[in-house]
Amino acid sequence: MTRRRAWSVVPYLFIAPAMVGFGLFKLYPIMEGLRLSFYEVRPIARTQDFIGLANFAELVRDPVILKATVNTLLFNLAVTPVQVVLALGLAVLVNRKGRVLQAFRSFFFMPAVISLVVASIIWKLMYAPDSGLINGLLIAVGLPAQTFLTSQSQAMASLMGMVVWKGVGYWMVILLAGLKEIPESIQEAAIVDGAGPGRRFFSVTLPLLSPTLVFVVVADTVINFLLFVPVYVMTQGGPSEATTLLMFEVYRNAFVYTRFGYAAAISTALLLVIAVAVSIQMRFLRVEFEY
Amino acid sequence: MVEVRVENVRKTYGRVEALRGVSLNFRSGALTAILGPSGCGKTTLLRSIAGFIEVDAGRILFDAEEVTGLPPQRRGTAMVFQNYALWPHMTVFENVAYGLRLQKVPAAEIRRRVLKVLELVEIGSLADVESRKPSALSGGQQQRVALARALVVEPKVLLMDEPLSNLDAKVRQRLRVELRRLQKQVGITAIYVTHDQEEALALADTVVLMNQGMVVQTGTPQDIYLKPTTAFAAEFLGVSNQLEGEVTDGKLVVAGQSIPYTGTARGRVTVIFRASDVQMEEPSAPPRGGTVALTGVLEESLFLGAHYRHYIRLADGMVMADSPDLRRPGPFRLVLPADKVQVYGEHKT
Repeated sequence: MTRRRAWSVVPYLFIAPAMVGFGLFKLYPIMEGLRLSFYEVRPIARTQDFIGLANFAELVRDPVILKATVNTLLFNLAVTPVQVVLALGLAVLVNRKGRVLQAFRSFFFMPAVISLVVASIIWKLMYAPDSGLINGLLIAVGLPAQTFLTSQSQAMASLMGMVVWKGVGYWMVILLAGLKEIPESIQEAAIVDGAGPGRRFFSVTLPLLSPTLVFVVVADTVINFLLFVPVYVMTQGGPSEATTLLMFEVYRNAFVYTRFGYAAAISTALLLVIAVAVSIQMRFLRVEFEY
Repeated sequence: MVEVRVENVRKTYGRVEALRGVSLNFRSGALTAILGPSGCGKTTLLRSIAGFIEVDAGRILFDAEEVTGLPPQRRGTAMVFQNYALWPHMTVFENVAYGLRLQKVPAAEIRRRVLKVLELVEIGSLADVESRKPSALSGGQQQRVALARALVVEPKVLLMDEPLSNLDAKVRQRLRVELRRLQKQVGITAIYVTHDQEEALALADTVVLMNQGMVVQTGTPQDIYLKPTTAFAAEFLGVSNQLEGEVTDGKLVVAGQSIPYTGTARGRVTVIFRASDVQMEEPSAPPRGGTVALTGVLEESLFLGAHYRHYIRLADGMVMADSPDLRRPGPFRLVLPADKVQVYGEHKT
């Protein structure tokens, strides 16, 4: 091997650890999941029978999956925009100068550093019908107690409230970093031209924040599609499947009903749904400038 | 055209005094360059005039109108920034038209004025200004657009914060000439901040030299360059040789050599002279009237294109001398016209 040829191998050696990690922990599980979705897996008998598209055929007829799909889409349509708008509002607020506002940065970010399991348990306790903090406060101000997680009409909204609270601080920090990236002179140029705060926000800040905003929207969407822990801890998908999300169905089919093939098929379908949702977002949120 | 007056303006950041009682008059219709090293307070002064910085004390007036407490958008200024500060998501046309749209100028009038000002700054083809984004332009063109954006709103005062420093040397020199032409053509009061002395001297009607939050010297470019009043001014304006000396009994002792001195400075002094004023003669050459001389040994000569720069070692230091021809290393007598040797007392500023 010539010296030049030997050197040309070096870059590949540098990226090899990352590629091995990607292959083992990302690519292989995806491909294995895809393969399993065409099989009926019996873990006790240790058999795998190829059944073609049967899992997918069952999936489209399964009323629980249909309910979970609708729930997942509704959950995303509500939670992602609310989280992003609130995070943006908070980022703009704490981006202002002032010690008090800077202290609020840590305050708003705090939920992001709490374990999701712990946060789910705390909120479950807060939502408790008789002894919960929220009902205690409602009663204290003369309002009727609510059923929250035990009611079909309120459970999903209650779950959404917790998830919004948990994620908003995290996305705020990302958006704050984006705001800090916008050169001050670009804002000042608009001020000198006579633009007020509102005009400046919509005509300068928001467009220049769009690369960060696109990342936040896409990443938040993916995370919300894959949400599992709060459902598992707070509602187990109930009452009457009111809070069953697709990811929870994956878990239930795999580890409760031991239908690994069917769970893999739901995962594959979920992957496709996410891919479609993200490509729609990327199509409409294209960024065509640099600064 | 307005005159800008700054009266005893002070600004501190914590313990740092950025402006220490600055008072200045910026003549109407003239281009004034504020020159000084980094951290001298020149940008703070400009941003105070723009309204981006609230001053701690003093007044800023545009003619008779006090603007000290007014926000930037109500001062009627326009600003050209070092990094252009163009809005990358808008086209060239939208960038320039932004201020006029905020003023609710009719669309046809906006179009007329934008195209006129883009023509004025010689942006090149006007055909695609409505589709091109700033990132498609070169640095020089982007700064022209920034200048057009500032001029289109017909500001009372044009403020420029090191507008050419991000450009390469060639473009910078060309734009310098065009900036001067434009300023004269429009006749606007302009304040230009720079740390580049050549730029300040080339562009300005008046140069304000600042250091440590204070005005060191104000005058025409010729005054500032030829008659620096302090050691700092002389040093900053590129007077290349600086030696420490002492004045005793009508004699100036510098580099261990004694030369006649009739000035007023006493005790420890700084002696400054330009490399271009030094004549290198053989040690045996007869002395001439009206000159002072030092002796040293030529160690190195570098060819700089227009001339050679010679490095001559004295008893306690190195001095530079320029000449059109190459000299052989060895002892030389450095002859200077007496009036070109500047002697300053110990306090530099």
